[in-house]
Amino acid sequence: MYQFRPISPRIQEMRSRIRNRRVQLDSERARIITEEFKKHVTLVPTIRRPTITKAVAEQMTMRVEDFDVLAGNLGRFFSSSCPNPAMRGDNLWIIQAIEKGEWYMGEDGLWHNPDTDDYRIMAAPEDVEYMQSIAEFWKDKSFNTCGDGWAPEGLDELCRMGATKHNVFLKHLVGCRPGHLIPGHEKIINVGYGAIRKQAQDWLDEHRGNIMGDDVKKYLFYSSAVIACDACSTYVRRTGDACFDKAKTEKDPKRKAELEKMGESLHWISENPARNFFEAVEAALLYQFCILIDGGGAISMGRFDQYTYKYFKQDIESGALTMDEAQEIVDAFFLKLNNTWAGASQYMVHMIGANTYEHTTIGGVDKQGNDSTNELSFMVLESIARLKLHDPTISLRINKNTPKEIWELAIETTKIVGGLPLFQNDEVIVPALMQEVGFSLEDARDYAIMGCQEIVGPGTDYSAANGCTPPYSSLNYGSVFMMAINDGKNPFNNEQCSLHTGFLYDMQSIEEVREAMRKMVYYFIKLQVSVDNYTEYLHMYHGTENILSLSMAGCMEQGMDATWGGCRYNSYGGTATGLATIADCMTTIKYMCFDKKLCTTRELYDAVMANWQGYEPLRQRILAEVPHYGNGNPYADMEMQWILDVYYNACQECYSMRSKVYKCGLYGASDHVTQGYTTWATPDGRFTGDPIADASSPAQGRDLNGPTGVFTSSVSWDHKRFIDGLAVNLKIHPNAIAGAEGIEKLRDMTMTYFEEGGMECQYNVVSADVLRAAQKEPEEYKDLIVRIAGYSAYFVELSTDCQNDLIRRHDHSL
Amino acid sequence: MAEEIYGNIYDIQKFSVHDGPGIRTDVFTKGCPLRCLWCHSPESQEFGPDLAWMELRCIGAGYGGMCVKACDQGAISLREPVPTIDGTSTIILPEVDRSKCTNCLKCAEACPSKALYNTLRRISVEECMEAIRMDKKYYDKSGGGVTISGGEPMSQFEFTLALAKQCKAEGIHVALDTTGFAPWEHYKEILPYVDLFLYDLKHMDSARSKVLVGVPNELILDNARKLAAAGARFQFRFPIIPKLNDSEENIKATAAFCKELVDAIDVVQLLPYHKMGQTKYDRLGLKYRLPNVEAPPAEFMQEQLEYFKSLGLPAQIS
Repeated sequence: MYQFRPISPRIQEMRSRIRNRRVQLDSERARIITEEFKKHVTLVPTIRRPTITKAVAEQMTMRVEDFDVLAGNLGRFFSSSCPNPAMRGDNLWIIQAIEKGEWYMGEDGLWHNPDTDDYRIMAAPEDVEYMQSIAEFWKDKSFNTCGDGWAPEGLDELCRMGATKHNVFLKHLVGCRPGHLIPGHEKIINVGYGAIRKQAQDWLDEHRGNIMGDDVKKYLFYSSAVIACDACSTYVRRTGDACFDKAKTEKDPKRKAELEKMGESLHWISENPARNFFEAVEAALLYQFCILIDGGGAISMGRFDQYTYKYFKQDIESGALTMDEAQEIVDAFFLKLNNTWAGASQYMVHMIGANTYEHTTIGGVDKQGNDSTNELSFMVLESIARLKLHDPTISLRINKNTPKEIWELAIETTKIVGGLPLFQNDEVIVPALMQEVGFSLEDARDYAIMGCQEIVGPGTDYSAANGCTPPYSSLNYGSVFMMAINDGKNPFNNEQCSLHTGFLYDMQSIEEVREAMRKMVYYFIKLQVSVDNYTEYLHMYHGTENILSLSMAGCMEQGMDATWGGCRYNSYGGTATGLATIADCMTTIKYMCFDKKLCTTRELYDAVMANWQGYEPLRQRILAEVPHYGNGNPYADMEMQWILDVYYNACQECYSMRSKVYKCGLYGASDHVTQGYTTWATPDGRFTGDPIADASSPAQGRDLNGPTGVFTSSVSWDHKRFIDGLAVNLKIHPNAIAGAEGIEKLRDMTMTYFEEGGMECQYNVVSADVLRAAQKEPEEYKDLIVRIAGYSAYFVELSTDCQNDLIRRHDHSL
Repeated sequence: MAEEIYGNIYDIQKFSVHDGPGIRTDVFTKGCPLRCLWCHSPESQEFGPDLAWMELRCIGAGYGGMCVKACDQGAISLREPVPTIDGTSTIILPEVDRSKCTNCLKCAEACPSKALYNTLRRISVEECMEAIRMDKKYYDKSGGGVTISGGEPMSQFEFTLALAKQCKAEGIHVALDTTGFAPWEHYKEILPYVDLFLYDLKHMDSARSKVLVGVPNELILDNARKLAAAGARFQFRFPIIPKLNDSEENIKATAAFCKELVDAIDVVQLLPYHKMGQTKYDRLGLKYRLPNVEAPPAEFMQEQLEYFKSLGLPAQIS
């Protein structure tokens, strides 16, 4: 068994503060931004944005906690929610919830969200009043309103048909910030803001009074870069000031000296490259915080164990750092990241989870192709497992030389923190990045995972994974399919789209069904990407990423913002979740109507349109008899291969001003649930409103042949094509992987799947809570296998008493 | 030709990780000459088909009661309505009168949701191999393979032998899960194709054996000795059933027998009794025969483990 390191008392304290956190609305940043914006209403946005961020860095309240191993804060409170009205002026959900009367005033004089919500969030009346007072000013000035004045052709149809989330999410054409990628934390650590600023200033000095032709863009870029560097330096330096301030009143001489040392380090890295491990970690963390203050979101952390390693090694070798001290720094780093969560409504928590998307990648090969798993890779997993952190998400890169020991720790971690780490396969992803996005071998070997599951080059790649304005890039393929077999009408809302593809009951062969679906997929992908391309045009003017561009390879060299195409690699993409549901629909039609002729297309059509009411025997027959994707059955897997071909080929016809590549992906936070809500019944036996399949996994409850069956189906198609990312979720009972032998078997299974061409997988080791949920909703958990001494069984098929017994035993074993 | 040989099975189970080394596929043959009181797979007992009914899958008689109509014997009647599992409505479930049922299985054919089903599946060696081959790479990586289990696979000797031979020919590790109750000649013949015997030791006293499992134990123990002498590898399995075979005397005798064959043993598994098979009896309309026996206490199992280990036996609790 893997032996975990002890947790230091101050890390324990920090963890418990975060665990019991009460996120509080903080209007300070909004006030600074509003005042600064009013001073610069007519300033060109690419200069205005860093100017405002610099003002925030200069004026915001800085704080250092008693237990802080690493310094750095985002707001006035330990856990703050700091709206940035320049990014999103309306839709301040806290204000809306209070105005609707959903929150209550507590005895402490603060507003509180309902006690029944999963997380505790509160707001002082003065913060609420301030946010209310600026709402009118911002209603047409925020970045997210920049696309409201004019709607590109197609947007109306996408909204009306419910094919994307444009209509349900935020009601604006422009949603999230464009920066949906991994910044070059490594460059900030190794180069420092001073040298980057000098590079920009040198260009400006050289071209003073001589800005000709396209140089005007460079002029704007470098001018903004100088301000952006000043903003970052100011923030880091003031964090250092806060350490010195705290040292002044500190009684304990040891802590006092530590705070002074921290302050000195932060002052140094406010301009210069890091000199040691502590400074390297702080430089990465505080750059991340600068991007968050600047309004960025869904920005991931890249290969933490790689870009800090040389500093770690040097400090350990020189004796300047002990392993326990290093572990404490790593612990603090992940707690700090976890604490950047700014709160969210219960609705959003259910939609996308309470997640910061600061995905961190460990292990894998280095740029030369050698396995680079190191002591820090272990420390990262230790942090996640010991501190039981569900966020940030961790990915472990696997290659054929991945050491056995990290497998062991990773699987132990999976048992403690369900689903983490995600396992990523270097042997598939590296060649795929070269093949699909044109990465060099070296850069491909340096990939990392962003957000949910998106594959990007950290610091080199404007990947716009999941599109430029996620989450709008997720088409609802369940609805697209229902339109395809219903002559372009969505039965969920009775809206008719411009494309007519005929009705299922008139189709004479599976080929005709395929042709209808192919046309509908092409139609909607192209419509959606056309709108996305217009959005990207808006970003280039209204949403330049000045602070991000400082660290992205290519931007400073070319004098070009990341949104303008300045990065070394440019791509964008989208994701399709639940295509297994579509595959099962196709297999059902093929099996029931054409191959076995067990019902007519008319009967099946009528049954689906009736949401199966009155057709339960037919539905049951489909569930019991038709082969399903995920069991290694070629008859069913063929339809998955087919729909994936269609999806991939349609994406090949898409490109934007900035990017020649539109990537395919098969993942998506909880898209399968939310899309399911608005998808009519489907021929595979699914009811209206039920979830569609999750990511690239088989439809829920349809994989009855265990994990190897899922994997066999999965590798029946080429994972390399889905370079925007891919997820396969597997539920595993803890008994199946108990002990050293169980760990070995899970490793062997994963390795085999990877050797066969699998890109990614994650294991959900089933908890007692899941077993209880399975008792309540047996249909949803038909595939849940539990191990009982002697044999395995489907949990839902056991008697209630046996189930209760298992749950009881389960509670004991954990 | 291997393709022409058929067998009767009741299940094929993938990613089996507890019936022999590595990742395995279990093939469960149907029919057993023994009738162990604690049997957790009643559907494995009969050589012929069984009609089973799984309540969870049943959609009720509200859709026309196809099972009732399909039954020529009038063996299926309807019960009083009961609340559905989600509590939103009621459902009328069928009741099979086993005394009238002739196992014709017409109701199972008519049942759209397969709530009524035949536990027997007739399968050719080749069909079986198709399912087995799918996971070949997983066996190779993990040192796993196929476990032919039952029922008693040796009771369908032709099928089991052909399956084992074909697996061997394709480089797949074969484990045979057997009661030991089959003619020695058969064991002798299959031995070259079996890498590991999962072999049950249920009771060391022949008279007690006859009472508990329906057959005496001389043949079983004799086959084990002969197999060991012929070079077979064993994983002995000792199910510990409170009050039935957990006496000090029987435990000592079992351990002594293992000790005698220690050179041929990879593992001795001590299997604590559990009641998880109980629902399967309900499905078949059978009475569970040990309703009042509880699982042995963990401390007791631990003591037995220590005892086996103290004799130098590679024991484990599974």
